[in-house]
Amino acid sequence: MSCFRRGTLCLLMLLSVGPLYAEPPQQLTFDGTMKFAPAFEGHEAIVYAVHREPTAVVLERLEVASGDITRVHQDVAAHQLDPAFSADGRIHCYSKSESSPQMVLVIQDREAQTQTEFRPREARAIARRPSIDSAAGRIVFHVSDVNGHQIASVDFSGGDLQLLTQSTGINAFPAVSPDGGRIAFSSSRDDDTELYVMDSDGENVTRLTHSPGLDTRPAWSPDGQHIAFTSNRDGDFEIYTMASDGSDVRRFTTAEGQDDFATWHPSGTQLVIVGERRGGRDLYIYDVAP
Amino acid sequence: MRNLAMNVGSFRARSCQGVDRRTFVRAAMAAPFVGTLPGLADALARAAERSHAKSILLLWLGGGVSHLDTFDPKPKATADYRGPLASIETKIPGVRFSELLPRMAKRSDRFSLVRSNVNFNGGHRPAGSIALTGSVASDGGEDAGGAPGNYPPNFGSIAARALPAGQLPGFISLARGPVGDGVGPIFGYGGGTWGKAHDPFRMNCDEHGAVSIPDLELLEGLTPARLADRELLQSEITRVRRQSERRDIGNWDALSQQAFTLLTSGRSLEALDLSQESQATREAYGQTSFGQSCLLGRRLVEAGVPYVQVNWSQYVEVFYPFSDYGWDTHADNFGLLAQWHCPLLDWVYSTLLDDLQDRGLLESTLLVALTEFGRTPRINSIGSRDHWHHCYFSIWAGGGIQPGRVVGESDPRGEHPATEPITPGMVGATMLEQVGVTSQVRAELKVLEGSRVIHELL
Repeated sequence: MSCFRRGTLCLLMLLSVGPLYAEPPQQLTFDGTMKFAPAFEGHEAIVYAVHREPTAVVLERLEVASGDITRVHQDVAAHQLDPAFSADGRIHCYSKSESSPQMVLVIQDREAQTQTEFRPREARAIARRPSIDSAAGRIVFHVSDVNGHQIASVDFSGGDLQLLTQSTGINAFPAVSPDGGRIAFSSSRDDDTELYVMDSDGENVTRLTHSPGLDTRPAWSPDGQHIAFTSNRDGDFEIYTMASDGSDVRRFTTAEGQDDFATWHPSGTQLVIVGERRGGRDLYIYDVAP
Repeated sequence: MRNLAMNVGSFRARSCQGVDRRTFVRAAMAAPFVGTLPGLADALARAAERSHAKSILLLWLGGGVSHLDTFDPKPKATADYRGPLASIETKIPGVRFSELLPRMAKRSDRFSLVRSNVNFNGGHRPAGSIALTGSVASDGGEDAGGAPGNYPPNFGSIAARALPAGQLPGFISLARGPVGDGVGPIFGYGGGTWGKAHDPFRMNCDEHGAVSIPDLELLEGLTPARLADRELLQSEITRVRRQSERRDIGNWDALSQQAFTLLTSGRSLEALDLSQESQATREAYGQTSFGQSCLLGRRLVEAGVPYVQVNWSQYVEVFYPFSDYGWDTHADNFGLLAQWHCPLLDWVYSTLLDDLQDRGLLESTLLVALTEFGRTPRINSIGSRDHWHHCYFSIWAGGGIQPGRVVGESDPRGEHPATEPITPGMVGATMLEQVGVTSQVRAELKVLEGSRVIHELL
């Protein structure tokens, strides 16, 4: 095989397995401080958890167009983590911890101007990673109560707790599909931490990934056709994408350092991640090829 | 979308050579009075000829690192012990690490691992004191109603007393605040029965590499420009000393002289100035206080400090705002390790190891990573792990340590050592032996008597 033909073949192979994005990504924050779990609030703002205070993690809002950053909640007596918003912006939910290991969910109804909490029963249990099912009026999250880490849901008042998984292993990082019909999540029920999908009532669990590494933190594209997620299958934490049935897995980021916490812009044309570059951890936005 | 023009990935500039001189003056006054016993001179001189290392750089991973999820995975154990994390191969045949530590796995032929450490207490503070002094307190220690000052001296206090330190303090501890937990500091952090004069000189290094002294007040009105006025400096030191005497903090006559010496020594201050490092080096250590503290630790041992303790001091995603529980992952062990702790340790340790080796410092520096205990091998009812002092690990590199070894073995579930337990006293004896504080010197100082050196590492 000639060098040219061999090169053409390699190029074709690269195209067939290559990333979806158009380089380079745009850097959105620049301070390098530890950031976690960005979430779009509407089309124009991103809310994320950041280690801003030396002793506290708080939520900040970045206005993407202007670059302006403001604090979402003025209270710094509690760590604030895992922000989530309903598509219409009415419901805002996050996790917080105060003076014990217990982490509770805070649920704000901005329209009704009410705030409620869901508090796990066990004193050291955590409720984290809320994802909002607007159609069903429920918050899906993972909770570590008395039976390990399970996926659960409550209504917008923090009541009517329903366990959606009751399996062995660590079940975590649920993400409700845009139509509310399915929930993607990570689980170690089959030994390795893989991604699964189930119906919104917890039935029909299907395994999506089969990799030797850790697959976690799924994020649905707004059209429900793709799932972005974090994996260390190639030795480094990177963002991958796949079709919602688990097929067509593609590595999305390639930088050395930890890439994590993918979240889709509501338009479906961009992905925001937390990327570790040059020693800092900042938000980066990638255009997603159609 | 607007392309924001900002200082991408840079570190914050610091004034006054990376450390606030006013802060440093007062801090310097807290430095321990360093002296040696007259009878030690000959023993130390003989030991120095044979010692492998000049300095010890201790990475204190406070809070209790889960051994099963890091350096002693049990892939053949049942799921309720093994946990959700996979294991990966290392450079040592048959030895596996957690999948969260790929960089350290690739460097595993350049350090050695002990897998049979044990402690004698399951509480953070007494276990921390025991791990850092090698002994239990005469009055039972922190959780038994004991009083501060009844532990034997910290390994760092011993090294600082026995070894020459030059103009910098002999025992420096890098942390935002006292090393301990939410209840309070551990009693064994410093001089113990030797007194506060042998406590560590404490500094903080933040995620930008800015060095400060967290526990001490500033000298009033003493600007960097006025530091050239030695009379003014001396008068300020004297004034603060008088105030401090009222607070009964320490041996101020000796400390004030050391403060003066430090402040007027450009070379000492240079060791604290991380801006003298290349941007690439600073970025390689990462923009976290642990990363930048490791870089500062390397500079301090390079400057001749005998004992530097870098404390894992991060507040990210611990569960108590305003407290620092480090690796105390009771409630979300696997999530925290995967998201934060292990990637950070993997990255920073690898950078530090490479840096020490590239600069030719690894042979003269004993690099030890240590925690007070492991975590329960059996996963608890909330899917996490609690304290476990019956078996854990430590990591050793440089300073005469033979690399690529695994010393000791835990049982199939990681619950107990399957081989001879490695005690905190043995850890201390080995660390000190490698810098020339031999068994004879230790006997002269009446410390760590009866604890053997872990010869399997040498």
